[in-house]
Amino acid sequence: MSLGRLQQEEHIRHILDTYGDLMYRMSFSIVGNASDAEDMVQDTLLTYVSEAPSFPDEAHEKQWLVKVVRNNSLMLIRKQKNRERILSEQARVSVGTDADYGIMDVLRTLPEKYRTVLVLFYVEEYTVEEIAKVLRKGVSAVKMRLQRGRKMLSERYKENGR
Amino acid sequence: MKAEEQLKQSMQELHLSTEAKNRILATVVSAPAAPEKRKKPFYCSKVFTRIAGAAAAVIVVVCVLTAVSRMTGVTKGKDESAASAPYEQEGMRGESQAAEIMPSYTIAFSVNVKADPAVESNVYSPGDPVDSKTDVTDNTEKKHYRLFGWATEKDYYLSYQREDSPGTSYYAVQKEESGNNSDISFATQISLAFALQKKMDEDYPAGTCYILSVSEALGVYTVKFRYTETVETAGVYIYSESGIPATGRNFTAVVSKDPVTAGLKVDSIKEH
Repeated sequence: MSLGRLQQEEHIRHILDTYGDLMYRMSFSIVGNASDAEDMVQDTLLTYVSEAPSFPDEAHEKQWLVKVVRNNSLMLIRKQKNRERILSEQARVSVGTDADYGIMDVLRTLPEKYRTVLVLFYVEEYTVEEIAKVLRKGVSAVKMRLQRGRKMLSERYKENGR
Repeated sequence: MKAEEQLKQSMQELHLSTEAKNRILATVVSAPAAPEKRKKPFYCSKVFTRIAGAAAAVIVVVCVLTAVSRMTGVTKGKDESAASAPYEQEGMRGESQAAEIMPSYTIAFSVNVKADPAVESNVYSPGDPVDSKTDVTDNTEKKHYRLFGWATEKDYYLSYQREDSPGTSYYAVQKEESGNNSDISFATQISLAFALQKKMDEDYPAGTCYILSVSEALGVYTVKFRYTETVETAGVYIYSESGIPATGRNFTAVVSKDPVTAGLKVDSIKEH
């Protein structure tokens, strides 16, 4: 194996260790099952390798990865819209306990724009400004989505008797 | 536990397994790397840059002249048609109003919905009772439609129910926030969608038109859409980001403005 290849492997491993879970969760919140989410992480890294983008710093690199994994996941959903029923079953299998899939099921009933914002804010602990940059939306739009998403999540969670 | 806290806890339990990481790593590393970008010889690149610059300048001048001449033509056409039929085309943002007259089918409608951020669009399904209502009359067929409309900051939702045959002529128009054609007004897209739906109703089984793209040149619209045969969701949808079914029959329609009535006329629909 050449030195360049070794360096690339090290770099990809570093990205996987640092941002792998972030990309996986982001994708999971959209596609709703583990195997597709893994595939989306893989596709994103393949794009990363093939396009070899350059970034001024790690923050930009992270933003790029989040954007691309989100877009890839949305594209997958668009292509396979008629698999809603299957997703529901797969999500239950892949997440684990009853309590877990309860909230995940509720999350998946939300429109994607709210899901993404909620996951970035509550799970990945992004600031509103950071989310606005990733989604290329205004800060006020992100706040609005956050507010509505939180409300919808809470209401639907209660409706389900959780 | 609050829903957000539960969400955080559940999501944080999600991790890429070591096995998955290794599989991804192996796949990604074995993929061919990006080819190195070839450097152009300095002299050539300089010369070509200048040539390209000059060509671009010429193209810009030609485009500007064409646009000016086209704008003059369109304005003239509108002025002439205004005398014979009311025609108004505005965006439907804020408290805007849109009215379109279509000659073949002549669904004249006006919409007056206030952009109300407090209205939660996703609570509703098309057909639900909503805040803003007005009546719509099909001038040609003398059929009565009821229009429901509501709006959020960026999205507009309209549904139409034909009162004489409820459930059979149900229309919904939806625009998602990024829009599939930012340069063509939503009002025009609605009119196009209606014209297409009416035409499809005549020649095809009940179904749903999903507008994929619209382009316009010299007053002629080329509309690409997907058609799915389903009675339950029959209607018109203008989608941008999601919701377009993976399967369906793809069509391209050519729709033009009728010079006499200033409405829209479906010239042809081809399946491909």
